Amino acid sequence: MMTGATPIAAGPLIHVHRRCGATIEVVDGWELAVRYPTEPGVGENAIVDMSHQSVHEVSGASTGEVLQSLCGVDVPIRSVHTAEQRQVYRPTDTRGLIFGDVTLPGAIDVTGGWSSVALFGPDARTVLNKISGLDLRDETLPPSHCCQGPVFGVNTLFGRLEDQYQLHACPDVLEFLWEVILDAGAEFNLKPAGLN
Amino acid sequence: MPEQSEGCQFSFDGRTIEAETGQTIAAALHNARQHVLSRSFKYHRPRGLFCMSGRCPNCLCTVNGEPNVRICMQTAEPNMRVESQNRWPSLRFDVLSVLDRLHRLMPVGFYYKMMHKPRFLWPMFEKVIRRIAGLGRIDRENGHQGRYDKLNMFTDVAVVGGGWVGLHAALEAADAGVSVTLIDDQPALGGHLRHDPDLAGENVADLLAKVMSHPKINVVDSAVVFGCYEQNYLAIQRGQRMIRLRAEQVVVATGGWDRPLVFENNDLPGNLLAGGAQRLMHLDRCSLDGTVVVVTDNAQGYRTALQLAKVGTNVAVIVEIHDTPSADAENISVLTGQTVVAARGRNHVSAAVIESVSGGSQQTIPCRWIVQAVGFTPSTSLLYQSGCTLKYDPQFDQQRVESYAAGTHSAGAVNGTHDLQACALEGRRAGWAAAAALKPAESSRDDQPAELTSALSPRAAGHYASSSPAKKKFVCLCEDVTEKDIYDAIDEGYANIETLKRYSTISMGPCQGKMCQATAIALCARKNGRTIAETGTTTARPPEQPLPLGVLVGRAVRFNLVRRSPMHSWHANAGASFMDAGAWKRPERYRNPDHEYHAVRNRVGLVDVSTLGKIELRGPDVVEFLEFVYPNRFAKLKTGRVRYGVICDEAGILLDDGTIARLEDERFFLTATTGNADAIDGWFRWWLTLKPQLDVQLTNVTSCYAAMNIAGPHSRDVLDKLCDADLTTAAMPYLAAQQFEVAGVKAIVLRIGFVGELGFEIHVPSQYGLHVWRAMMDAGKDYGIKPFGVEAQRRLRLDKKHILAGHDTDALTNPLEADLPWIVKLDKTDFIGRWSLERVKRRGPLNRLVGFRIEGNRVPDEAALVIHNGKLSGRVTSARYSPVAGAVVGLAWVPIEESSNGDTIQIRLDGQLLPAVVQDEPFYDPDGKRLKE
Repeated sequence: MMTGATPIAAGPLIHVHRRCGATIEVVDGWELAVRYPTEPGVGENAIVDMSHQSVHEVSGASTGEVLQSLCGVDVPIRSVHTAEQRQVYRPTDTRGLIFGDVTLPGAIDVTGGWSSVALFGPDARTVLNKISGLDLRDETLPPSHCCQGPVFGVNTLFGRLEDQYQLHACPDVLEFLWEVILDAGAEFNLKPAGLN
Repeated sequence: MPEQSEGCQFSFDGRTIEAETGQTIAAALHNARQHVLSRSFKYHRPRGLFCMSGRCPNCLCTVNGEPNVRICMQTAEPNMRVESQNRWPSLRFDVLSVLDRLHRLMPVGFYYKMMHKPRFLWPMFEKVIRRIAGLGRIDRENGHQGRYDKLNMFTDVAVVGGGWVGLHAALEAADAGVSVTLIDDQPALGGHLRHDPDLAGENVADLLAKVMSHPKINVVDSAVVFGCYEQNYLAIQRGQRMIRLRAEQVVVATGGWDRPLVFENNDLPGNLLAGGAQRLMHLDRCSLDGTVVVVTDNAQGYRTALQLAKVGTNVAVIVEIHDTPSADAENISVLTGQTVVAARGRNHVSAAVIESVSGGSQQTIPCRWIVQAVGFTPSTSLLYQSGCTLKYDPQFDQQRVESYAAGTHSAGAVNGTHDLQACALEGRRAGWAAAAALKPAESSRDDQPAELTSALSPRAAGHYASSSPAKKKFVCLCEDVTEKDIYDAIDEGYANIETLKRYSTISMGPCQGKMCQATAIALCARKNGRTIAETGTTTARPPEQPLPLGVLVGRAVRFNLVRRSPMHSWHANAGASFMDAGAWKRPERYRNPDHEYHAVRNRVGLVDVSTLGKIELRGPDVVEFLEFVYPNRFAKLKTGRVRYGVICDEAGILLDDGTIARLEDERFFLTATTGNADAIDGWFRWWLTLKPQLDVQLTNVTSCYAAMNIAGPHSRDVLDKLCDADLTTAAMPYLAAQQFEVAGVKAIVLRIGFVGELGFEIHVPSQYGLHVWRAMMDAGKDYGIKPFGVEAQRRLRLDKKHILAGHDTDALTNPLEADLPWIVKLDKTDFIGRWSLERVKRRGPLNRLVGFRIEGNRVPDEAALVIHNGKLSGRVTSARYSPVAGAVVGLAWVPIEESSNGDTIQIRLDGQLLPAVVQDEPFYDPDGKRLKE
């Protein structure tokens, strides 16, 4: 016999959002913080919880071919391909990660193993420079590229898109990462924002 | 004096002091005629302004509770509370100044020779010494109010030093198209030019404007580069922030500082370095009241004297050490071939005693200030740290670079170049070279700035100390080390500069040798009859400038990595007390572990095991791989079954234990101990790399899954409410592994148990962990379900004699001795550790991990000793009181001869020996009926 409750997925920060007074709604089976009581304005520094994305992993020698067939173009190593509401990361030669819904034979659903935040604003890079020793300059991490490195001991996948930096890490450390980023961003008035 | 501008007030030892806007605390105190600022470390002699550049120890004060602030570099702010240090009860009247008269009792190294005999007096001496030693006091009540953090920066070329040379170097490199970071320790660029305006004239303003507006130059001011590490990683302190700057190339243009002259009472307030006098004048807009005597051997002394005269200061005379004047003194009298041999005065200079350099009669000149410009110590520490080799050049009277480390360049006074035109060219050449190293294809020799072809006239050998037998000739102002102390230490056998340093403590104080090392080397050379080059130097290590520990630690104190399970918030709301399991926070207990224990034994309990390591292996060769990495067998593990296994290293040592479930033909799901997932992941990857022929895909899914274990007689009843699967023993026997939905979520369900009851381990995608947990707790209400924590779990598993890898085992444990001989299949073809385990088996075990039982309720500590015939023979690893056994039970390592069932061992507890009986079978449900029903 099975209970009738429909499963609701929750990211690792949901109780943090709730504690901060964010408006929580269920969207596509996920509890999400859609709005914070005080939101950053346009052009201000903001951090958003993106942990509700599906994540699939492709690995092995055929990673390049699989990603190319998915994206329609070659996805070079350390690049990020963005299209159709998903980002395709290729951090190494034999590993690819797809953030966003996808149906791909051979890909493993690792949604539970990844959680993400996105950092926006004019001081996003400086905030990250306070917590990570990675070289995030334009010449080393231009838009549509990714790299991996530690943030306070947390192995993190960085993605640089046109208007944001994305950080992906294990869900069990995301609350820690969130605190670290907000602490570093305090001098730049970094604020959390809801998905809306 | 300039017009009075709007300023502020602060207090100094309770006295209100006025400061002009932008003035340093030191300058404000100077204007207020507060010339005694501190008491020296050892003799408590009065000390005042000296270098005015943050290098000497004389102006260290406590500011707003923060000790050891160099007030010559600290801008005065409203309501600042400034207090002098190292004095009692007051700066004006310091009781410990009596030590100045007792200097004969405190020769160099006296603490090695005194105060430890008779031995019984040492604790008293120690208390006294602790009370009077040290500089500054930490406010233990309020702590430090600062906020330290770190910033990482990257640049093509780092130029250290924003003076004349550094500005040229930065501009040249930036014009070549590379990114430049220019670091200077002052709030404004310009270096010596800021306080010596006669040096470069109007050229400076243009140069500064170009640098400040250049798009490729990033200026970091008020920042001290305190360390140069491998691959040009520069550590920089900027206030309470540490900047880690990674540079491809480094140009060191750090210049240097005035070298003090050593003579009797050279530490009295009123003694000033020339640069200090110039800074007071030009940066802090202060004047020197009274008469000034300038002692010098170079043009800077003359410039300083003329600048002082220009603002109305009475410069009585320039005492020129050379036989002829070094520059034009205009209307100021010059006495050539003379030097200062003593200062007279009590709390301030009142006269200078001068004498011929070659000796002879003395002359006393009344004055209030003795300004010293007798040489220049280059700031070479960063060059040493970066790996450059330097050698003393007698023509330049300083250390100069002999060979550069890769990616390092230097220019200017640090190289011994003082001519302004030559400095500019050197700086440009260094900047060009740094850029060319990064863009060799775009750089040509034609672009390189031309070398200065005219010969430079290097400085003559310096004059370090007057030759007089006086005792109070201070070489090290920080540690109160005199010239006599140095000579005495050498006479005692500490003739090598390194041992001399350690014995006398010279250069070990706040200045770290900036004021004293060059002189100490010269005196050491003189005493030993050797050259300065032969004497050598001590080793330069970071930090180049003292800095608070908080700068190094940053925010790390506040942010230790914490890992939380998906159900963490539920546990916190339920009142759980958390324990650390590596970086994980695990609920240790909710309220009462006794209640939790009984709930599991009698009803049903739920424990969060999300912290378990989890690894997925897929591929046709997984079985072969498992056969290799585990000592037990997997070839016949069927789909839908799970097995316990241990992992050993090549020495047969037990690394970890866990379960291996075959979910599909080529898909295996493994678990490992909490906190060990990454190590086992690494271990597996290592061996897969060595076996590339195996087609095995490994994925670390530790964080992908939330996991919980439901255990107890009613566990099946609870789970049944949440799934459609047949959970009967017929359909899902003990050690079955199946996949079905639980509470609507796809789950991996293993019928296993660690606690000795009917139980199921449920793994769901972590985003659904909270949902499933809540569903289980809800479904279990009718059965009195309780969450249970690690403490209850440890008691429960101990009833079954289940081991905890890493707790009951250590780096010497093999499975044969850990009571797991059944797990080792030596008849397999090969596996990691086989050879070693074969040897153990042949030799026979020396120790054994046994269960023991103690009647009563006295529980030995974990790691309590097992004693046999008065000698240590083993130790307890786990022990708890067991309600079901009605006794204390535990596990212990004992010698093999004491390990048979029924043997009695003696465990030490509170000084007594407690008899314990070895028991082979589990203390609860030995046949495992409850587990397998």
